[in-house]
Amino acid sequence: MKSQHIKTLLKEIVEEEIPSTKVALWPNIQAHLHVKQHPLNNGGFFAQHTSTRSRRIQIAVCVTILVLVGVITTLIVPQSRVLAQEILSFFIRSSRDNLPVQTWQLTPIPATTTPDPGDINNATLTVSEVGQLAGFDVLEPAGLPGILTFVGATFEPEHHIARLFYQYVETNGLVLREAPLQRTEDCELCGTVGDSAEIERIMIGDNPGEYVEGTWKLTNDGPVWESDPYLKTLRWQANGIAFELLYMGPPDSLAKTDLIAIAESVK
Amino acid sequence: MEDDIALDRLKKGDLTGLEELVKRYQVRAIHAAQLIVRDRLLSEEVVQSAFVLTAERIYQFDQNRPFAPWFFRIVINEALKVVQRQKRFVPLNDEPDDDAALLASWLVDPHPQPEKILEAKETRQVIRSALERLAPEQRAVVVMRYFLEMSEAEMSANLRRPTSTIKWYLRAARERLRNLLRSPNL
Repeated sequence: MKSQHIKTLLKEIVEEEIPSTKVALWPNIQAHLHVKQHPLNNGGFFAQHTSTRSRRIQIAVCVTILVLVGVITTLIVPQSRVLAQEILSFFIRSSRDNLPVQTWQLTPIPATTTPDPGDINNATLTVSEVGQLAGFDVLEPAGLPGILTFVGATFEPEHHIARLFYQYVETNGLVLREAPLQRTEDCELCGTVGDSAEIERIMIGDNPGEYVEGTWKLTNDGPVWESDPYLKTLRWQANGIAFELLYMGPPDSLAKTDLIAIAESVK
Repeated sequence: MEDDIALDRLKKGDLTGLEELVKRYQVRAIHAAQLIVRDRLLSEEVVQSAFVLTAERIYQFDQNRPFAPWFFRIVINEALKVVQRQKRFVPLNDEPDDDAALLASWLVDPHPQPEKILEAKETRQVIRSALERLAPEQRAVVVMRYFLEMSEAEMSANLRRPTSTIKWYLRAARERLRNLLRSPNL
């Protein structure tokens, strides 16, 4: 009853200020769309999306065929394995640095009692315990700079990801993520980088990999890619396992070459 | 025409879909914006830009969900952006104020007597003036709760704040209004 009265009074107040009969926004909105030459006009925006989608499907089909041909070629011609490895990509480049607001950004975080496996505070397992849970050999770096201390490990059964956590100082550190190759990403932006990201091809021993500095900064308008030397990511694959090394810390505390050395010691 | 039909058209790039949504929601949207922004021209700007954003982001909208909460989320956020840009709100002070006191009693009193309030002379002007003394986010909370009749969960999603923060906003608004009244009974 009270709420209804409040609503009635509020409606009366705004009705006095802006009478409903005088509200006619469509001409202005239409003009605004025209002034902006909004792609909605002439069906452009959505037609563009639809055609882009169709084109993507066509491209996907072509790429699939090419990949199949490539795989077959690789199987038939062992020498082409080196070439096949060279075209592997570990990061997906977005077409821009500003992404629209993600659905998950607008959804309140559900109350849950399940510990977050990506949180260093939940890293309570040993490497062998995680290996038993994962069902594959969880490898650890043999050589680590003295600044890093092993904290613990977690296993995420849903995505089959093992994580080993190493701390530098209180808020900085290194995470080694390992998962079988067929795994899916455990977050929507994990493998995606902004259009302006500098993806550097590197070698981890005989295996190709990629290195990126930066991260997605979450804003109210959606994620924005920021090149940031404080956040380094290195990805590579070896023996059927996908690896990711993520380091957060001052740029001079651990360089790219240090990360590569750590990656090469993962055995 | 149901929302779904208009939305289907809009998703296909048919502007008549957007036109239909404008006709259906413009009054409620401009009134909600006006209660927050307190300026007619700015309110129109807010709602126009909310509809343009709706068109641009329609591919993100999950049509299994109702359109109105999603759309009003955009309106509220645009209104708050404009207010923050304009810095048009007058912060509450702790001085007793008859207008604010009346709004306080209206919002807080567990046994309101709306007829009495309605009978009061220039009641609307009094409430209007008191509303303007609230901070923009508090006004947004009042608008969402009482004008748009949103649940706390919806308000939480709209303001991108946890439910606990929404409760805190409401409580803070009441506390401040209570201070204005300087009545221990409220």
